[in-house]
Amino acid sequence: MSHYNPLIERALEGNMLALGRLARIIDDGEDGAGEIIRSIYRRAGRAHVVGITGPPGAGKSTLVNGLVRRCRKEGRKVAVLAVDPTSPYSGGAVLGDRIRMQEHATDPGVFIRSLATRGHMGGLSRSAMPLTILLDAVGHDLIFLETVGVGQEEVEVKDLAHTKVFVTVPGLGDGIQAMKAGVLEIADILLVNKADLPRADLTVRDLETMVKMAEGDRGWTPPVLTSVASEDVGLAEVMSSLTDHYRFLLDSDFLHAWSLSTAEAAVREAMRGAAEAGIMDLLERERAAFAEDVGKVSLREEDPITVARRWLAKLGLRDD
Amino acid sequence: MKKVRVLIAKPGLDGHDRGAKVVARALRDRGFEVIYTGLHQTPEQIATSAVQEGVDAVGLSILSGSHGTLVPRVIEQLRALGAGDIPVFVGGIIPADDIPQLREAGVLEVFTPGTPTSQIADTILEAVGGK
Repeated sequence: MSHYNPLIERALEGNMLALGRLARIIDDGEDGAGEIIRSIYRRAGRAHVVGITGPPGAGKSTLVNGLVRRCRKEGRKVAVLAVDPTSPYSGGAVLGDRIRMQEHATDPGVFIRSLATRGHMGGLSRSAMPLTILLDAVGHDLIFLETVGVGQEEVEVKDLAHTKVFVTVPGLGDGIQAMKAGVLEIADILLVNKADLPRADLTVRDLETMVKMAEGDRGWTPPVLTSVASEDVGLAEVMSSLTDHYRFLLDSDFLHAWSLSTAEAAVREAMRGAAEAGIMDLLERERAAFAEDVGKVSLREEDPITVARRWLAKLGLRDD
Repeated sequence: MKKVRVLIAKPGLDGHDRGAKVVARALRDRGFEVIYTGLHQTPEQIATSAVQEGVDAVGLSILSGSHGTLVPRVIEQLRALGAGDIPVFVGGIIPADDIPQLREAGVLEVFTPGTPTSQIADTILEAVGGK
């Protein structure tokens, strides 16, 4: 039991203010964040989590907006986590994904939260995982996770989303790009957005070739779809593919495997977070001694590996 | 240090958001997380966005002269959602005579054209620092 219980109870009753404030505590990684997750974790596990990823400007936010509109017509409660990059210089960010989604701003069945990466690599923020748990626990049927505009290697969304949609646009690369490993590989649905642009058919063909060449038993062949999200063209097909993929997971052993890998990622992340906090606390407590050791390393009287091991030993951690 | 999150919003019908973008950019460069919601927002949209985004402050940019009706409505909506403690700032073309009325409605500070962006950042920091 924690003193966050009143806030959690109100959030479970559907209070938007309470949910917004819990999300802030979690995003800031405050001391209470862990307590909140402990209180609500067992309630989560019912939402269909959909990852939307792809390069900057592909139309991810516009797509999410259109998909949210369709979910709402079906009466489903929806949440969106939209991630934008943090400036490596100032630590600040301008989060603009909401601009494309404001038609849903006053709909009580839609909760939208913008997140900054805060230096985290992988296409999401460090808080994306616990926030997904929170939004799931309070009863959203569908959660869209919109990553930052990704290059090729930001694949963290695979640990969080049941269904991953890779959104691209015509003209970004040839067949070789499509053969490379990375974000394309984790996609369950491939979507060529802005399909009214020239050469969209070539992009579709490259992706289809890639899908055909892919090996391994995923039990699911990613469809290659086209859309013009700003005009609501092709979104019905995207929506039904999302449902098909979720049904496929529910009806197969893949959901079990996915749940295990997601659970493992959650435990690992919690351990990493706790270990990091332990290290920070220790270095803060023994700041002078640590500065002395750092000085020795800078003068090459000692090497960084030996010093790190000595400090980790104080926490009962070893790396040898 | 805890991040400062601010919503920058443009209520009403004016179609010019250069000022809002300049302020958003300047606050970003001071390390703030700025949520920008674009043009033509209703007071209801602004208040619910502020609550969902868990912001520390709301900045309203208005050039159209309709601040007298729009600003109090944003504050009313925030209070209705239980978020009356979120400080509200206003920037834009606001006649000096109207400023006392906006303050009375609950606005913490009004920034008129020519205000250095560093002063805007400092004022917001001071207002949310005690939270």
